[in-house]
Amino acid sequence: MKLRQFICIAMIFAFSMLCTILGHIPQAQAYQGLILPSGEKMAPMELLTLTPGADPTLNQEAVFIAEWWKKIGIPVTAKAMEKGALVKKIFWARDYDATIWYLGGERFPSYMQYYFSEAEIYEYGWNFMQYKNPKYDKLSSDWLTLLDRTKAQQSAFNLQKIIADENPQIPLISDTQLTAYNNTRWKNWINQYGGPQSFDSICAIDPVGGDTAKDILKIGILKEPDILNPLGTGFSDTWTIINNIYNGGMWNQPTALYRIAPGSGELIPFLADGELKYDNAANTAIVKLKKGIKWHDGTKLTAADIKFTIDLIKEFKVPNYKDCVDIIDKIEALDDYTLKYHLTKKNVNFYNKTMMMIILQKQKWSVIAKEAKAKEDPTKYISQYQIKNPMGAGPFKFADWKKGSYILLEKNSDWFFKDYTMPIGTGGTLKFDLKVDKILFKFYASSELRTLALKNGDIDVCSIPIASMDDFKADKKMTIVEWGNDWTDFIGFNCSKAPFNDPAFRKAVHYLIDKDFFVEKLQQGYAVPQHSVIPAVNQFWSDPKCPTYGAGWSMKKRIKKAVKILKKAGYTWESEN
Amino acid sequence: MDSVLEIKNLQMSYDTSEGPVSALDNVSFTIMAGEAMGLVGESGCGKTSLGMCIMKLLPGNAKITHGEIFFNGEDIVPKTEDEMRKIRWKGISMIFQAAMNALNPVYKVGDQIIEAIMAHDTIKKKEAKEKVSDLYKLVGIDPKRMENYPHEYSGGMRQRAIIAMALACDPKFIIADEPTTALDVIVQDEIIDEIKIIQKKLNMIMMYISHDISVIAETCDKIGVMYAGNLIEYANTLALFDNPLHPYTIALMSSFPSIEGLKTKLNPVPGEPPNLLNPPKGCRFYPRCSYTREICKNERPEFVEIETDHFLACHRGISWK
Amino acid sequence: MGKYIIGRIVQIIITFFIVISIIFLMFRVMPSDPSSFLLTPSMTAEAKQTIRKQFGLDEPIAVQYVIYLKNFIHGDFGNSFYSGRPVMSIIMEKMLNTIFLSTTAVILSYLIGIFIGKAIAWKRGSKAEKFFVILGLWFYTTFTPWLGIMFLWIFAFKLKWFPLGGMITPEKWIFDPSLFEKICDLGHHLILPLITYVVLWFGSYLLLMRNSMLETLKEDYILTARAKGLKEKVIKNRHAARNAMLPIVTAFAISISFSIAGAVLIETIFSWPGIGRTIVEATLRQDYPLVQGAFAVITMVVLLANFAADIAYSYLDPRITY
Repeated sequence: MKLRQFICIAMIFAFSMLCTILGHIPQAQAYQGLILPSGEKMAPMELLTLTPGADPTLNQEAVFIAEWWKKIGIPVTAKAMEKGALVKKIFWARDYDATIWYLGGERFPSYMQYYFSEAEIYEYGWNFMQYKNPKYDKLSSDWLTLLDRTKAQQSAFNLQKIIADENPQIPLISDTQLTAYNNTRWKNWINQYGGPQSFDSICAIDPVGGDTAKDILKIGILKEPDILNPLGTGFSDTWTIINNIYNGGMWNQPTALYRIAPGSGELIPFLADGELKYDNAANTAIVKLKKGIKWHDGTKLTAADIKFTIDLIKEFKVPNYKDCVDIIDKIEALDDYTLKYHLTKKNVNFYNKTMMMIILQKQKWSVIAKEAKAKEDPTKYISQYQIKNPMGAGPFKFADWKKGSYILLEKNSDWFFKDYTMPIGTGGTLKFDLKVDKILFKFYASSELRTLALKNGDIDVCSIPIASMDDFKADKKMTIVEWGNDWTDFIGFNCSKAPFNDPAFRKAVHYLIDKDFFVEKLQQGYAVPQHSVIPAVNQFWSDPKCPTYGAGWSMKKRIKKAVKILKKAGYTWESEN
Repeated sequence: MDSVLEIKNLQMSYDTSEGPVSALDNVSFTIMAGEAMGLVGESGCGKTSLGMCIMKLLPGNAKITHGEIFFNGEDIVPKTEDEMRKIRWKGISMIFQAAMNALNPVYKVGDQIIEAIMAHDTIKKKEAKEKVSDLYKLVGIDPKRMENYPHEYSGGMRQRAIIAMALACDPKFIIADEPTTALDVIVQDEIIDEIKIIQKKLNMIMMYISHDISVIAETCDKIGVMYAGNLIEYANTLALFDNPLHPYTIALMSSFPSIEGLKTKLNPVPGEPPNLLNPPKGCRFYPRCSYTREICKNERPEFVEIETDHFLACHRGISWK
Repeated sequence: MGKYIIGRIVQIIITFFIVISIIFLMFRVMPSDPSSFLLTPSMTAEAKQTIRKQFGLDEPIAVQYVIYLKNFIHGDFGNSFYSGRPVMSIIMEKMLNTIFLSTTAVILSYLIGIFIGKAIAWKRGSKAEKFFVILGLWFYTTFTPWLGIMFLWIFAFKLKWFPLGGMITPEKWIFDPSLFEKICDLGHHLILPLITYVVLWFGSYLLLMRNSMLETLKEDYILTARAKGLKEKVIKNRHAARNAMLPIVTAFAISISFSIAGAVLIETIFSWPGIGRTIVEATLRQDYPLVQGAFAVITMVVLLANFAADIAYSYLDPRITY
C-alpha cells in the first residue's frame, strides 16, 4: 500500500472513530438525575414499544419520547419487543414501566369503561395500566346505562376529561389512511367512516362510462382469510369480505338491525323497521323487522333467525360475541317480524353492540349447531367451522374461493336495500344503487406488489403506503382518498409503580411530548395529533376540548413547564443549572 | 533393426506464473524394434514428462518448444489431438502405477478395458470381452474378475489389470511409468517378471520409467539416465554398468544396493537438483559435480556418442575422447 | 443392505422425534402468548380464558407435550389456531404450490448449473469460464428480494410481459376457462418467479459442479482415459462428470428439501401461495399447530431426501456398500 493511501484510510478511520466517540459523550443536560419526592433517585425505566419491522412509527415514537424525557433527567431507554412478547409482558405479567400501545376500532367507545376500570385489574384484564379511580369507575358504569344520547355524550366527555387530567395514558397520534382508486373504472366513491372500500362505498359506486354490468370491482388485500366463519374470525381483512355477504357496515361489526351514524352517534334503522322501543321499567325492548328481507337462498329473514343467533351464541359461549349477548336474559320472537328482548341490566351495549350483531340463518346453522353439540369442545367446533358457502342477506353472494389467489362475490340482485336511500346521520343520504356486478378480492403478499398492481390496473382500489403518495399524485388515473383512522396510539403507564403512580409526574412528561413533530416527521403530515383517548375521527364521542398539553410549544417551553410541575410536586435533581 | 522411436533434441517447458520451467532440454535417443529401454533418474528429473511428451498427454501449460518425436518414422509433434487419439493406446500405450488412481472407481475393470478396445477397433462388444478375457489369462487374473470394481482388487491384481489394459489394443510401444512402485517386494518381482515375459513374447518396444536403477537393470536392454531435464547418459545396460561415465551415473549406481543384495556403501549425491526456472548456464549437474572445471560452468556439454551406442553429455567424458 | 436400511429407518424415526420435540419446546419458550393475536378489545376475561382453553394453552407444558406426541403418532397435526382448519390440509394445499414452483426451479437450476459447470471446468482458464464463474458468484450473492422486485418491475410492470405475481389470473379463472387455458395461465405466472429462482440458484450448482469437476479432472483415471485415446466427450461425460456428480447428489437431496422451506422470499415477492409464506405468516401469528406441522413435514422431507441420497449414492459409487 502506498503511503498516501495509508494516510487517507487512517484519516477516514480516525474521523469515524472521533464521530463515534463524540456521539457517545452525553450531551450536557440542564437537568440530571431526577430525585423522587420520597428522596430516592429515580431508577432506570424502560419505555416498551414494537420492533421497527412490526411498526416503524410506534418504534420511532418511543425513541424520540425517550430522548425528550431524558432532558429532564429521567433515566429512560426505549426498548423494542416482538408483539406477542409485548402483549405478554404488559397484559399478562404486568412487570413494565411504560409502554406504547394502541386502541380504538369501536364506533361506540365502550373501552372508555373497561380500559380504566378497577374491575379489569386482574391477570388477563384490559386495564393493564392498573389505573384505580373509584370516581371514574362509578361515572363510567353509569355512562353505560345512559340511554339519552346527549347525556351519554356529556358523560363521555367527562370521562375523557378525567383521563386527560390524570394521564394514565397519553394519546399520541392517529395516522391517516390513504386509499387510492382507479378513477377510470369506478366513480362516486364514498369517503366516510371506513374509507372508500367500506360497505357503503361499494354499494354506492358507479362504473365510469355508463353501464358496464359485466364489470368486476377488483380489490387487493394483503391477508388471505383462512376462514369465512363470522363466529370465529377477528381479523379486519376477513371482515372486509364478510361484511358484504352479511350486510356489514363497519370492519368488525356487521350492522344488522341498526347502524350508528358517525356524526351523531344515533341509531339508524337498517334491517329493523323504525325506532327501537325500550321499556325502562321492565327493562325490555321491542324491535320490529323490515318485511321482505331475504337470505341469498331466497328464504325469508325473520325474527326466528335473530332469536336463533342470540340463543346459539349464548349456548355455545362464542367468545367474539359474548358481550353482545351477556346482557340479554331472554329473547322472544313475538311474531315473524317482532322481537322482544329481556335484558339483565341496563347497558348501552344493547344499543351499540347487540343491535349491530351478526345474524345467522337458522336453517343452515341449526345443522352445524347439532353437529357441534356432539363434539368434545362445541365452542371450538362452532367457531372454527369451515363454511364452504357463507350464506347472508347482504348485497353480495359468495361465489368462489380459489385458495391462495382470490375470493369472488357476486351481486345479489334481490338485495332488499338495492336502490334504497340510506340516511347517514349527518343529514345526508346515500343511494345503494349496487352497480358492482362482482367483487374480486385478490391476495397479495406484500404491499409493494399490491401498489404496483394498482398502478398496473390489476386492481381498482387498495390502501397505499405514504412513500408512494407522490407517485400516485402524479398519476391522473389515480385518486387518493385520505380518511381518519379509528385507532390512536398512546403511552400507557404502569400506575401501580412509583413514580408512574403520581399524576403530577405523568402530567409533566406529557408536556414533553411534541405530537406535531410525530405528525410532520414520522408521518409526513398524514396523521392527526390526538389529545383524547377516543380518536378525533369518532366525532360524536370524542371530546374536542381535551387539553392539548402545549401544542405548538417549543421544547424549551415544554421543559420549563414540566420542571415547574415536578418541582411543585416535590421532585428535585442531582444537578440542575 | 529399425528404429521405432526416435527423439531428436526434444525441448519442453511449463508456463508458470513465475516464468517458464525448462522441464526437458536437449533430449535425444532412439529405441529399436524389440528393445526395452529404461529411464532412470531422481523424481522431478523429467522422466514422466518425457513419457507424457511421447503420448502428447501434456497439461495445458506445457509446450514442446523444439525437437521431433518420430514414431514409426512419423513426427508426432505437429500432430493434432484428433490424430494423436488414434495413435494412443493403439500405437503407444502406457502402464500406469496401480497405486495411482489409474482405474475409474465407478466402472467395472473389465468394462474399462473393453472401452479402450472399442474406442479403436470396430469390433463387437462380445469379441472385445473375449479379448479381455484372454488378456486376463495372459497377465494371470481369473477372467471372472472382469465383473469387479477396482476397489475389489488387491494392489497386485490391479497392476496386472492395468498391464492387461495397456496391452488391449496390441500396441507397438509401451511406456511403463513406475509400474511397481508402492507394491510389496514379492509382488513387485512377479510384476516385473510378467512385464519382461510379455514384452519379449509380444515383441514390443518398451520404455520403462523408474527411479530404481536395479529394477531397470533387470528389465531393460538399454538405460537412459536423466538429470534435471537432460538425458545425460544412454547406453546398453551392460555397458553402462561396466563403464558408467557421467559423474551422476556413477553416483547413482553407488547410491543403490547392488543387484546381489549386498549392501555396499551408499553414496548419495550431495546437494539439490537445480531450479529449472533458472537452470545453470553450463552443465546442469555442475553445482553438484565433484569433477568440475571452468568449462562446465559456462558451456552446455553436447550429447554425443562417445563409444558405440554409448551416449554422454559431459565435458569430462568428451575430453577423454 | 437390508440391515442398513432398517437401521437408517430407526434412526430417521428417532431423529424425527427429537426434532419435533425441539420444535415443540422452541415455541413454548418464546416469550409471547399465541392467544394474544386472537384477542379483540371487546372480549371479556371469560372469553379470553375460553380461547386459551380452546388452544390447550391452559394445560401444563408436560401435558401439552404428551398430547402433542400422542396426536403426532396418530398423524393428527391438530387444527390451525388462526383458521381452525386441519393443519394437514393446509400444508398439503400449500405444499403442492411450492413443489410446483420451487421444486421445478431447483431441478432446472440444478440441470443448468451442472451443464455449465461441467463445460467450464473442461475449458479451464477460458474467457467463458471466467464469465460464468463471475456471473454465478454474482447471482449467487445477489439479494433475492432486490432481484425479484427488479424482475417484477421490468418484466411485469414496465414491459407487461408477465403478470404481477400470484399463481393465476383471477379474472380468467372466474369465467371457468378450459383446461388448456388454465395450464397456459399457470405457466405464464410461473415463468418470472421460476427465472428469478433459477438465476439465483444455478450459480451455486455451477460453482459446486465446476469445483468438483476440476478436482475430478486432476484424478489419474482421467489421464488414463485420455491415454486410452477416448473421445473428449466420453472423457468429459463418462469419466469426469460421472465422478464429479457424486458430491452433487447429496447437495441435490438437500436442495430438494430446502426448496420447500427456503421458498419464503420468492413466495412473498411474487405472492405465490406456498408453504414458505405460510410458515412465515404462521410464525408471526404464533399459530403453533400449523408451524409445528409444517416443520414436521419439512423435517420428514429432509430426512427422507437424505436417506434417498445415501441409497442413491451407494448405487452411483460402487465403493460404498452398506
